[in-house]
Amino acid sequence: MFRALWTSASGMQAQQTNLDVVSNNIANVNTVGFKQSRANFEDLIYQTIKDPGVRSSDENIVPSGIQVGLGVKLSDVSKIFSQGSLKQTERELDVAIEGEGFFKIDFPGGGEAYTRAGNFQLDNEGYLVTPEGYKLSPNIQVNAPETLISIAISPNGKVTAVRNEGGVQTTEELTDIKLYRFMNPSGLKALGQNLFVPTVASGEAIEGNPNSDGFGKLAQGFLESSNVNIVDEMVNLIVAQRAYEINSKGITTADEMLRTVSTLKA
Amino acid sequence: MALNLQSIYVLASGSSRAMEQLDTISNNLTNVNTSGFKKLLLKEMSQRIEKNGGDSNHLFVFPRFEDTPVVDIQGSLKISENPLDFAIDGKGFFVIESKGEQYLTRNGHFFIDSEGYLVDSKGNYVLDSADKKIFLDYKKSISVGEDGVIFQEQQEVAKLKIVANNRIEAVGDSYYKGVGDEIEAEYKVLQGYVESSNVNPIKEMTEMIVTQRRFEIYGNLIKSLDTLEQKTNEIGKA
Repeated sequence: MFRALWTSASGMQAQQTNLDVVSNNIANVNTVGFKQSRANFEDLIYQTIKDPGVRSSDENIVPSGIQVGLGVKLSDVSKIFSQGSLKQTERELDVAIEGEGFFKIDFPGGGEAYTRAGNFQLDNEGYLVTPEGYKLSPNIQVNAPETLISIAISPNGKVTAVRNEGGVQTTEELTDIKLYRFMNPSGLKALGQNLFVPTVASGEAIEGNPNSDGFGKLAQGFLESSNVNIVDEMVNLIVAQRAYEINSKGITTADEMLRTVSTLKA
Repeated sequence: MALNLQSIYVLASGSSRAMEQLDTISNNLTNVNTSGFKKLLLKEMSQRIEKNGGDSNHLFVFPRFEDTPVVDIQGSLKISENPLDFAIDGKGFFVIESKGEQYLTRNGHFFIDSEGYLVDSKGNYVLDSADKKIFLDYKKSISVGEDGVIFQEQQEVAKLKIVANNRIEAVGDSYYKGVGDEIEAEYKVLQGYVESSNVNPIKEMTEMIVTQRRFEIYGNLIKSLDTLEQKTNEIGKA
């Protein structure tokens, strides 16, 4: 039967995945710290119908054979870690990273994950936590929250609590915020909830201080928006749909040719 | 037998060629979104008719395909904003090493692996002009000049190996092999771009229509010949 049938089917499958990736990007256009993904494709193997070096006539030798490709496959879906735009929120526990790096958080049951979303909160024990309640690591605890007036976070990661203790304003240095980066951020595995976990491909996390050694600086009162470019994604949506349609035409054509075959014999 | 069956075989062989044509066209069409893909061209062969002394059984008029060359023309460039996406504008291919063998590719979607080497999406090493793996310091920003020289903070780190061949053959997985003579590579390397597939969907769709009609014509002719044959058989019945 026609190779074209399966070839075109592989194309439709690839474009379906492309559509999945694009719609997930569009769905997260407003998600804090979200990084867009891109589906990448490569051609499948080639089948050789005629080997090179065959004689085409008494004098001529075919320089190369006849090859038929068997379609397309998904090679990878990689995250693009370009900077999202910073949005001012004027909330003192919103911290954006301007440049490279991730915040590290601790999972309650052990283990760790990394995030670019810096929309932190204080939990009932005074720890700095993500909206899901996961603690920022290294843990930052604010003691005596009832006396707290404000928290200041410097671009270098210094956290200072300003308190009102019996009418006297005092300041206290809390634990520093550290940042982490990876050899190959595209190798990180996305967990959802804006979290990433390292894999063998990404390499181990490397700790550093914000605003030094190539790490980004912190911006208090800002959030990093999603880096999804909605215009690009809409264009990708159109491209995926058209490519899907074109591949379906391949199947239709193969089908109609098969009908020609089946009506050969009256 | 009154009818010579040779013509039916010739037509059937034509139908098979049309099927191969559709296979090639649909492979081109499925790769309309594949970065760095180069379409295949199915070249039809000119007929060579043997000398025959009026013996129609020895007329070799079977249609054949000669060759499927990879059409190495530039695909359009698309901005990707990923510092490790490279595209070649002009002639030439990046060189990738996989299991001791060198392959060519125009798909410049690269990564730094966990050991710090520049690799492609399958983890195979991208080679520099001295046939060595390229080690990059992920802590420093990476910039690539149009001549393929990779800089990190004003320091030259490596030069991408880029070669061109007058004839290439597709291997699959975005890889090609050079089978002809090496020619001079004239190129510009662009950072933050990917090269789209060079498949023109309009042209391929048109080809697809032509293929289908061609197939139908062969089919109709076979049917007519068959009817003729039937009529011949019926003559005797009267």
